[in-house]
Amino acid sequence: MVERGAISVILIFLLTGCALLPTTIVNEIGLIQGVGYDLADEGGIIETLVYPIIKKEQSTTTEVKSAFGQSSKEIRTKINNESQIRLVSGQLRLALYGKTLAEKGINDFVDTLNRDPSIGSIVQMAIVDGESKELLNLNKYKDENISIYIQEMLDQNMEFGQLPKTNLQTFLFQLFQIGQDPYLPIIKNVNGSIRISGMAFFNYDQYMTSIPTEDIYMFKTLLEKNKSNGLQAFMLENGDKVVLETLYSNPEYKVKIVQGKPEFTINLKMKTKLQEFASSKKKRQSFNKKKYQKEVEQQLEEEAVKIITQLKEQQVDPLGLGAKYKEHYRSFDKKEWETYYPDVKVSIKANVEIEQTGTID
Amino acid sequence: MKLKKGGNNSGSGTNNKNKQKWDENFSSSNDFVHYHTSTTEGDPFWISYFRTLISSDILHKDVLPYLQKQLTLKELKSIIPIQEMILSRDSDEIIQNIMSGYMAIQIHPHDDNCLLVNIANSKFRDVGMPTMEASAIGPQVGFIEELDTNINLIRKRLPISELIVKEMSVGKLSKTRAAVLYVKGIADQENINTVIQRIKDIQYDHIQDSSYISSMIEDNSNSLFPQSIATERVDRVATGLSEGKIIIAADGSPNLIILPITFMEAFIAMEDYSYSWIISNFFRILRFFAVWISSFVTPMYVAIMTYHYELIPERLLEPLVGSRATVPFPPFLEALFLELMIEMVKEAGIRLPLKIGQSLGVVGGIVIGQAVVEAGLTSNVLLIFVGLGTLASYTSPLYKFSNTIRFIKFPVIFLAAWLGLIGVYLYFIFTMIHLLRLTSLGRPYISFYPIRKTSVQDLWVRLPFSMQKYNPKNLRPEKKKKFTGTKKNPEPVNDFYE
Amino acid sequence: MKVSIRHQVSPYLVFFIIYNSQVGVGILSFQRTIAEKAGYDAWMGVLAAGCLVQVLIWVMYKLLGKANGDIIDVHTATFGKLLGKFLSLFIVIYYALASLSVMLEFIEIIQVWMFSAVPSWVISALILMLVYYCISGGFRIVVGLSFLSFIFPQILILVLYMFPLKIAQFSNLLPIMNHSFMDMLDSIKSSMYTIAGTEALLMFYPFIRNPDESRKFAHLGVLFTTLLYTISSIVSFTFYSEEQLKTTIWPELSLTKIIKFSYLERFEYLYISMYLVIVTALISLLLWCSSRGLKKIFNMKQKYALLIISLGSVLICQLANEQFDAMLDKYITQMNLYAFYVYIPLLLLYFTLFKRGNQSG
Repeated sequence: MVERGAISVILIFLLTGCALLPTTIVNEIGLIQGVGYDLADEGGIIETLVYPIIKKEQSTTTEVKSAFGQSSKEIRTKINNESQIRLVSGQLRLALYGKTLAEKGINDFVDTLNRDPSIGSIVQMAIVDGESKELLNLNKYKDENISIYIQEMLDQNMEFGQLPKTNLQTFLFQLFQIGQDPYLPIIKNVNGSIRISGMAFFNYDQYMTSIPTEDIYMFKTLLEKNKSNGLQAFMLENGDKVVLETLYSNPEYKVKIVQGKPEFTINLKMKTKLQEFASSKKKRQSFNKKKYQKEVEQQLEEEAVKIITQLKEQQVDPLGLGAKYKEHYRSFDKKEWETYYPDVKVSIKANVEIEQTGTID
Repeated sequence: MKLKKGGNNSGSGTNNKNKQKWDENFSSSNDFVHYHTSTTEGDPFWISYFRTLISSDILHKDVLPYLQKQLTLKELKSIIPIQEMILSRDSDEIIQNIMSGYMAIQIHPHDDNCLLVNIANSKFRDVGMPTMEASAIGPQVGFIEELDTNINLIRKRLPISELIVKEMSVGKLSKTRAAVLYVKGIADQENINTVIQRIKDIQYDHIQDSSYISSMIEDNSNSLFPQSIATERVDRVATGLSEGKIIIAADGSPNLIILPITFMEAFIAMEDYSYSWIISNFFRILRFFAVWISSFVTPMYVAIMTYHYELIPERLLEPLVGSRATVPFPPFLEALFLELMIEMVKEAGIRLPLKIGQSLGVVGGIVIGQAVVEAGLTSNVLLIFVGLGTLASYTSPLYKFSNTIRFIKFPVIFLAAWLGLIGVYLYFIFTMIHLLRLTSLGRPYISFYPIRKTSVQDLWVRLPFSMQKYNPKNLRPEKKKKFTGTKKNPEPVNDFYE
Repeated sequence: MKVSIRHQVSPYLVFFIIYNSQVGVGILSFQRTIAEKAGYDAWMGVLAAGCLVQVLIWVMYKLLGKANGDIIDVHTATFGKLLGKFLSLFIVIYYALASLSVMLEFIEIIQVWMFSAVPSWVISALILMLVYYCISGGFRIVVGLSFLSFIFPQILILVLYMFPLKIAQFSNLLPIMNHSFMDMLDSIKSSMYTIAGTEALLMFYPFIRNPDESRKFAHLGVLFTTLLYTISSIVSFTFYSEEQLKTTIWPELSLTKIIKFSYLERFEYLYISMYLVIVTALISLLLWCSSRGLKKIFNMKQKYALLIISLGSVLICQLANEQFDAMLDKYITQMNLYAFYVYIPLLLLYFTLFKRGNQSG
């Protein structure tokens, strides 16, 4: 009996000990789903928060609020001052950065996403061509949950379309990886609707350069093995138009060290399916696989060289050539590599196989 | 049994005082009959019996006509056409037999010597269907409130001389007849001794049901988990007996107690043996998970809604938050309120007469549930979870166990509201340690630790009969192997049929 | 003082005890510590440390088999009553301190990731109440909980490695063997503490029904944990870039952030709660060893020994600060290294040489 008495006393103590844990009851908090950062003229930043107001049996509306300040969580507090519900960041899905801010470096605003344990690591990140505040306030998406909209737009393009996979985790991975620089998609407000407009490349955390939408898929192909069924159109020199769907592509990087300097060869292997074919002769003709494979290979190589040259010129290395060099070269030195990079020799050998031509030949 | 022994020792001789006593005790009951068959003073015979215990048909047809002549008891014994007759002068034996439906015939009212004639009512009540443990197929015979009928039913299924029935009486006032049944040569002798000893040790005034006995002899009477099965199914009892389990039956109770048992047996329905082993495995595993769902779905809801909103995927956010948008209470009160409401509906449904109970269930379940959600007092998502949980708790074939499951979730709801997921897991660990510590007749209760080969064949899963070769080892059966004489299908030798 | 057969456990259960004694909260954070010097070659250090533990197991079995009792019997047989008990006290204190360090680390995780407001003493008191309930059921129940912690969370956790492995960058591990011998030695040293715990065998040896038969299960247990730790470190190494790993305090927890199902996401919260099972089992085992040791040394009731240690632990958990944590960690690491990898083999040597001499003489 003494034991039981002791246990009940302990239990009472325990119950009083933390009966007042701060709760986050779902309908009493504002779930921030999207956040945007812009550079303010006065030197600070403007942060925009998007959180849904979920009502019973009514369509959800979103609240978009911005404030000026020096740091992310400081602005959070400011916006909290004008909100009827406490704002929490555990449901964050989207982080946008204005281009001007990105040019100055976004590390300070990624830090809090990385540090806060309540924020997940599959947060979508993107650079906004323009102002993220303006984008998040777009009229067209007033009735829609804009952060989820953008997140899903990016998600579906990464899964099945042109974009290479990026999120907070990949960004951090590349940010810290020796011999690789991060890359993020760029989105833009085009006449009131949101569109993916390119790929941004960073040097550490600073935005350096970008490639247009047409080249993104080429970049994705060079980056990693993929089976995403993306489409690639080739306008050949003789005016023929060939559109291929990738069934499988795999870039193989070979590193050779010639006179102490690295040289790269990319063997790009592609298995494709013909989706569209238009002959310049305006006449139906059967598809000559061998001939077009050759021509497509040639064009691929050219495009790839174009992109890689641009990357080398801008001193950014999103393909991770440095990391690949490091894998093969034991006494890798980061400084030394950085001096090599602008003139490093990269040759590309494409091997395209058109496996299917659809139901007609 | 004790009575008999005492009687033998005292032997013949001065039984006058004793007889006075039984006369006295009996005649204080209103249903005791004691009269003289002849009008002449000093003539034979005097007869005594309990009119509630005997069949007056037999008495009038087979006994009374012979009592007209003047005969000795021995002569009487040879002419009365009834098999069970005892000539006795042992008062204890006389008392016991009269109590079980014999009549006593004496020449003089205060004679030592009696002829005991069995005129007990052998027409028992009709056996019923198992109502609480119904099954779609399989035998539909259930026990009733009469011990003899029940033993009779078991003996019909196991007509072997090794089936031993040890009777004893429990309860200082109720003198309830209890019987311990087991199959000699299979059941562990240590288990049998433990059970008999524990029943003998019971010190209580009245025993109304076999459950009284089971809760008095359980290893840990503070546990929520039943450490024995109370069943009304004859097939379950017969199966248990043949595996080496021990049965306790009490007169006046349609439920027989099976022990020792393990945790997993709460998920075994007798129907399992009527289906193909693959199908019955599916249902057995389904029941197992249903029980976990039942006890943890509402607490998880409370934990996630109160503390861990991060866990909700974006697609579920809108339905979950939307349904809670107008609810003025914290999830803890909301859940407690709904759970208690369902329990009340259930409780009221049992207490009320069958027809009213049914309509009340409809009113309670559907009307109130709908109204509460519409009034915005609880969320309809929680209503789904609570309904699901209640439904899931009833999948266990044992009624007592499903009550346990439904009770268990209340402490978890408290802990979830207090410490979120940590609280839920603390409770999970507590339950697990409790189950690990629990024993049934000193045998481990939880069936997965330690691992035994025999638990695989028919406990977690049910293998085909041809693979159930051993009696469950946790019972320490004296006979290790089941007799497996089942012929296998004729198999082609390493090849297909021609 | 022979242990009755009713309280002994089957030989195969040694596998689960050994597994449980080695796996605690260390697995959530060791990836960073071992990679500090040896970088991404450190996983080989884990394998090497695993081999050393195998040797230790062999040594312990040899020693305890000769004495046919636990470490306290060995000590009293070797050094006499007074000195023997004094030495045993050290080992017993080690178990208590080890359990304390596990508890402190786990409380820190709960406070950082889930409830920053919950007082330390509440969590420690709750866990220790469960531990008390478990230990008061006897050694069989302690082993039962170890067994359970293997079946329920551990196997699920292994399956969930699938998610990070899907996006793993195996090339991170290249080039293999790119660190100096001293760096590798350092990774072995820091792995040693993470996979320490087998020394519980010194106390529970008399509780094994058939010690000779159990030997192979003990080795299998160590093999399993070694592989578990190796896989876990490889998963982390391929998930994070090297610099990123160095910034992450709990790599194993952070990487579960990417696990996402259609009905549940952010598994780190479930992970921490599931580790509660593993941690409770581990603390039960350690405190069982510790309280049994005290019982044998001071001839006191195990109940009171356990209560004293538990109350002490709750008090220290509440009062401990970061400095204390660091100091405790340092001392335990040292104690573990010297007590079990230096002292025990020496004891075996001494025991074999001198005891045999004594008996023949």
